[in-house]
Amino acid sequence: MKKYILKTLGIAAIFMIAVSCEDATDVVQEGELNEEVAFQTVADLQTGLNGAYAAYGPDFGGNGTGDALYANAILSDNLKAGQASNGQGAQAYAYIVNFAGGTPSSAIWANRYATINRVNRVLRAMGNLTFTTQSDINEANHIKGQLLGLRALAHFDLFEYYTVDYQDPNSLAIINVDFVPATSDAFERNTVAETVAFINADLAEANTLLDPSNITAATPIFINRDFVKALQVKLAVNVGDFGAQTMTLTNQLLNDYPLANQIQYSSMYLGADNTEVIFKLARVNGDNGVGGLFYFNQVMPNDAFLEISNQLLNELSALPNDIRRSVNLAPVSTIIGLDDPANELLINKYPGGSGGLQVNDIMIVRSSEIQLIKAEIEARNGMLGNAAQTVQDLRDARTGSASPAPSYASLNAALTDILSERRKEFCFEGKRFLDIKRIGSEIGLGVNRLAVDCGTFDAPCDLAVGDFRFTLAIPQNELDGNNAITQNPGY
Amino acid sequence: MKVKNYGLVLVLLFLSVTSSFAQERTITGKITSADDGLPLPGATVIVKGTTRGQQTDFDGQYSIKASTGEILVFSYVGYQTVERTIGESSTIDLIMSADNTLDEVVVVAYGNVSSLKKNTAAVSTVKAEILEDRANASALQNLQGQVAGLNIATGSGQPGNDSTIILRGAGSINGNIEPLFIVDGIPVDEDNFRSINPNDIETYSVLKDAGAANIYGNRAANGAIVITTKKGRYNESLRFRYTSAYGNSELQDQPFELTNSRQILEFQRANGAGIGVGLTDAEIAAIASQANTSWTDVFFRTGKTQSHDLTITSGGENSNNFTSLQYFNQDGIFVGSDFQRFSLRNNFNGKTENDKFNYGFNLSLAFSETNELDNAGSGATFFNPFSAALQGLPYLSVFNADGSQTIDGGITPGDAGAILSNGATNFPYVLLNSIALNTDREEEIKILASLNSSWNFAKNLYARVQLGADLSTEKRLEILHPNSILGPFQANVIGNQAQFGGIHEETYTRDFRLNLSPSISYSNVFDEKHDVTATAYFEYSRGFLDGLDFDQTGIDPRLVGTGSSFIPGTTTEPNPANGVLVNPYIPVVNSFTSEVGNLSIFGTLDYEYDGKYAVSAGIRRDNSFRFIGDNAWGTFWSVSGRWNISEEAFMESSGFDLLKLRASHGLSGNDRITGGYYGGLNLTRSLYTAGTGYNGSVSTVVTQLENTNLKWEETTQTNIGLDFAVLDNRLSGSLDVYNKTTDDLFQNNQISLINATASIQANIGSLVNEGVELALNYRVVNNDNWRVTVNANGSYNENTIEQLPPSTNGLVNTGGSTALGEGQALGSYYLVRYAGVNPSNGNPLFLKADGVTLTETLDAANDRVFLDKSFYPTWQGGFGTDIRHKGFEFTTQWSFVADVWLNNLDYADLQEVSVGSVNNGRNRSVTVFNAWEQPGDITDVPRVGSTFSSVNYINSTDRYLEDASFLRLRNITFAYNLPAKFLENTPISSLRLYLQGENLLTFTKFRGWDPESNFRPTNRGQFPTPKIYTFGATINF
Repeated sequence: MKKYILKTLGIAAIFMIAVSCEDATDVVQEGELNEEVAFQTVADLQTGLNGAYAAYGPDFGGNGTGDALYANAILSDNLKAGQASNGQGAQAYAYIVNFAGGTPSSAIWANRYATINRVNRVLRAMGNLTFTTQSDINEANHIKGQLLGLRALAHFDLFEYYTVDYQDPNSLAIINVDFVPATSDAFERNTVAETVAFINADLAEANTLLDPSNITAATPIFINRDFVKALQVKLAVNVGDFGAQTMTLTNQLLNDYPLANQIQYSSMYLGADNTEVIFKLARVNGDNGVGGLFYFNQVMPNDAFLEISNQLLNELSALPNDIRRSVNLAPVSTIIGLDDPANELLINKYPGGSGGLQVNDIMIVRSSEIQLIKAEIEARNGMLGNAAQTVQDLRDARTGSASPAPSYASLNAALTDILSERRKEFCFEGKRFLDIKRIGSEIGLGVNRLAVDCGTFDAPCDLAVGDFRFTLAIPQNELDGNNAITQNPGY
Repeated sequence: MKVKNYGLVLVLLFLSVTSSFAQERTITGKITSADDGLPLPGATVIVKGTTRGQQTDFDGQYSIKASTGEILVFSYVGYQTVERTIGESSTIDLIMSADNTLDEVVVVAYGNVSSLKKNTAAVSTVKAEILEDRANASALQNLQGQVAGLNIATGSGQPGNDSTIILRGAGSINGNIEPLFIVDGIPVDEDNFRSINPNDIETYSVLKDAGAANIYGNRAANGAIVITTKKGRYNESLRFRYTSAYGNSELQDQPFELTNSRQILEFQRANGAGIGVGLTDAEIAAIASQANTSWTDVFFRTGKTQSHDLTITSGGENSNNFTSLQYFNQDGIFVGSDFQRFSLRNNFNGKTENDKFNYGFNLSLAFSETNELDNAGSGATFFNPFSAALQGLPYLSVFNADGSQTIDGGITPGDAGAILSNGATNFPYVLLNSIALNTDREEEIKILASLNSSWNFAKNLYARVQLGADLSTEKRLEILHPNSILGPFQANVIGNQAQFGGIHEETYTRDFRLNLSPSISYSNVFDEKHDVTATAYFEYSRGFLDGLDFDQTGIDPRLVGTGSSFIPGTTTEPNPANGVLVNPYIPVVNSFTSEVGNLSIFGTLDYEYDGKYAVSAGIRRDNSFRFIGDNAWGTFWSVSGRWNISEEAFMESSGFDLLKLRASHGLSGNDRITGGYYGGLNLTRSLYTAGTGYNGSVSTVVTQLENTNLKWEETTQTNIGLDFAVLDNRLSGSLDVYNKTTDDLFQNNQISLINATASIQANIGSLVNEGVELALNYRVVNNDNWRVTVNANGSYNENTIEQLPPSTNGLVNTGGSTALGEGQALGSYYLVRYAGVNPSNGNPLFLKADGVTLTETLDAANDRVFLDKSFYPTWQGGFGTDIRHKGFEFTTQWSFVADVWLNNLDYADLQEVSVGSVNNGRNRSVTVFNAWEQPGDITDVPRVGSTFSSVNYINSTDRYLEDASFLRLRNITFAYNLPAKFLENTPISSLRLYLQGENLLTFTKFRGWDPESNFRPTNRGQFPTPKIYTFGATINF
């Protein structure tokens, strides 16, 4: 009998083990955070907005890859290979068609849509929450206004890089995304008209939601109504709307944001002056260092793999005492002579600051851009004399004295001068390639590098006006994951 | 006639038994082996027809009480059983010969044992005794080339380094591709063998097909390797065995020539960059006479190996025990790398007198310490020491002014200018300095414990329980010394060096894996011909990984290595830019935990008819926590059968000693989506995380997109095999063909980037491994004086990706040198074909995708093609010889892989001639002097100053894609067993001396230190595997 009890117990024990094991099948890891738990309060939504801002990175990249700042520099005429080059950027500089991962085409597309995705997730979470106190409602609206402004900015960037013709309403632009997509879906691009309307709608709604009295409105590192205005101006110019409404917005902005003087201008790049800054991205200790786009470590000899082209240096040197030369060219540079292949021309726009060696704030819109847009609108409306004065005002501010007055015989001449002024004003700020694409195509200018510059990469010097490569390719990884999308012509 | 004789024997037997009571006396004798004349300890002597029995002692001696006329039966595993009738003499000495007809024992799944004749599945067994003297720190390295279809690739010379193991080809794209490892019944971490003493292992059983491995169906889609450790024997006297070995290891031959100081300076002068510019011949000669450093010789060294092994075995009536202790110490051939291990194992077995209940308890404790070098394969100039050893410039002197070897090249710590000048020329000093001052150490304590018990609780019914635990705790310590050249860069006050530099990082991890498997089985034989066994199993597995990590920046140089060196995080220093106080020494802390679980129920049924035919079947249901809903449970199964053709009557005079046909088919699963045991734990859920956001704020962002449809990756395998033995078992072998198809592959399914990520894990597509394996063993000579055996095995495996996610249009190329393509093998290179140098201008030429048009434009987006070359080999195997003559043994073991390719970035760097690269601080191969110089030059090196860099060639072209096939003399051993007569008056029963070498010869076309890699696409600055020579002695007493 005892024997049987033992046996029965033994067998029973085995089966007891068998039935008490659900813990092996329902394993949830510590620290899992789902959407419902992640966003419950206005403060949570603010952290979502913080994440959306953090995603937006025209300055991201380094060591031969990069987003908008890098793309505009490497794909245009402002760079040459540096002393420390191991070939960083050689393929892009030579316009070798490549839209795989790591190329500007892939970086910009992925970054903007990642930003948009984060925005839309916070908006979706916000839609599931209700706030009762007025202060919560105001704060939530202000957050939503910033989210919509950021979404408009990201769509605007994509529109500029991936649309062939901004002014053909029926041609393909980009995918407009105001939802959190399902991973199984595929998407074709919207038309130019749809995308422009989409961006404008976001901007209009943002404008009503943004609270000018909110504490963030005091600093240009957050999206505010003035930035919305500036983006409306930029979009209008892109689509060819040079009417009175655009001019009005331009004048309002210039009234509120005067041009910086020389001292203000140079301290602006050290993060110490915001006179003409409408919107900039704050970069603090621990953030991506923009200097890494050009340097291995810091602004110093033998460390730059990309340097200022001789051609750009020559333009910056054209006017005496132009503050932009000293802002852009590091004092530790070595200039052997005019267009000398041994010149070591070190970029100084991002010398690092309180955030670290390579870390500086990133300018998105400054009043000088509005100033030059104003000149462009004037010129396009036949006011060539006004346009010349508007450009000269900027030059005077930059040189600290009266510079020779320009005189434009034609719209072409005006646009040529404006394009050249934009080059000096915004070099390494992510505009040059887009400027040549938009304005250059109108006046018959492509990329024409000096032989001494393109020789450093053994690359072609020119990209002819109208070349298909002025519009970036839809990147390979988007084509791989989205069989509904259409590639841009030429690729 | 027969009947009559039979009756007579019975009568005689009866008589002898009765008389024995009167005349019993003690018979003694000594049993020796015919093979080598050595005593056979543990041989069994029983009196036929009785239960009286003894075992020989360590000297082969026995003594047993018996009577004249009784018959003594002498038996020993692996030897022919001999009977002797007792006559007048009280001494019976015996020489036993090996039994060539013995049915080989095969260890199969869940601790069961089968035999070569009975097993229905494809299983290869390696007896570890042939690997015992080898000098590899990791047991697995010894297995390379031993088993057909098994590829063990180490790819690093760090002693104790993990190997990548592939059985019958890689069966998954992103999921786990390594087989399941079982040690004494318990699943263990396949990536950690450094803390297991190779000499404790008795057998390795490689379960290849569905029939063999399917019982582990939820983990064995890639097969299983079942390791059994040594045990004691019942009824044996206490024995000691001591082995000691000493040896050296060194770098393999270098198949390329580097430029010397004069040559590289002339190269710089000729091409107008670097310190060679403007120097006269005399000045160059002066520099070259001062320094012509071989950085390879500076960084590599001759390493020492020593090991001590002691084993103690004993056995009583109902218990036996095996105890082993080992100390193993091996230097890497690279400075700063070494490994040591102390291990202790105890295997205890016990049983009841009636054999109804028996159990075994195995416990292994090991401590290992590894000093290693990070960043092998990295392109980080100041961190990859192997690149410095290969590419350091020869005109940099390695000596101080006083003639001692420098550890800093005169560079002040923190001097950025000094380390960056001239293309970072001084980087070898930085690496030398880091190795001299820094610490990178892993200390591991590993405990493996398993309990197996079996209880025959009723007639034909058995209850068994296996309980196992694998605990690894690792402490990793990395110190970047504050006084090293890189030390001051580590702590910053907003971009400026803080007062204290250096980093002290410690990581503790604890990995605990538990496995419990009870089972009940029924076993019976009906009508003497129908042998049936049915077993039901339940299995419960959990794994827990915990860890914490801290990273202290700012170390007091006087106290390095201890916590008291940490500069407190509250310390402030002023920002030089604006005087604001900041805290540069705030430590970073991190804590993490992961857990996994599996639950399974399964059953097996084995049926054998008349010893000739058998079928086995298994079915199981498995739950994985990685999947949800209906996808969580997978059903896996297998059927296998055999036909022992040689047992058939019609085969009686066929000459076949064994001819057995096997077939199996089955389905098994894989839930390790991302490969790692603790990987892909919650991919069915979308997750957010809090982190650092804009402007230093806290952010909440999505980090993972859910795929609720994830399910088991499934592998269907069909195997047909033949085991055979002919010529009186002198030639034996097996032949297998298989097809292994993996469906619902874990792959990165590309999705639109508007999802904020380019891909998610999904079950899409299929991949096939098909192959043939052949293993042969031939005893050329086997007599009293000579035993000569040769063995060979080889396998051919063809891997084909059948289907990729539809979104990819059959091609996944993320810009690297390899791509996934439908119809292509996994690991296939997808590159633009390099077509030499244009004689007219010295530019490199490439073939357009059409294969005809030559172009100077490297169009990586459009001109890539699949080259039918992969970094996974299609051919692999090994062969060896074993020659024994009296006390001498001479064995060799070769291994080979063929049709395997490797992108050689090291060599590309040595031929770097791209624009701006002349003064890049790196040495060159002398072949750069072949660079194109003037129109008409026919050469394979483009002009100096041409566009593409070494990395361009590697990423986009096949210029440096090299055949990494190799044939390697994996091991050669020469041993001598001292004749017993010299030891007669000593306590020593036997003494064996041996001399062995690992990797002494390698034949390859690959232009690098080592063609062996762990299946990686590109070789850059890797730690090559060394040659190792050891001398050792084994003493039994």
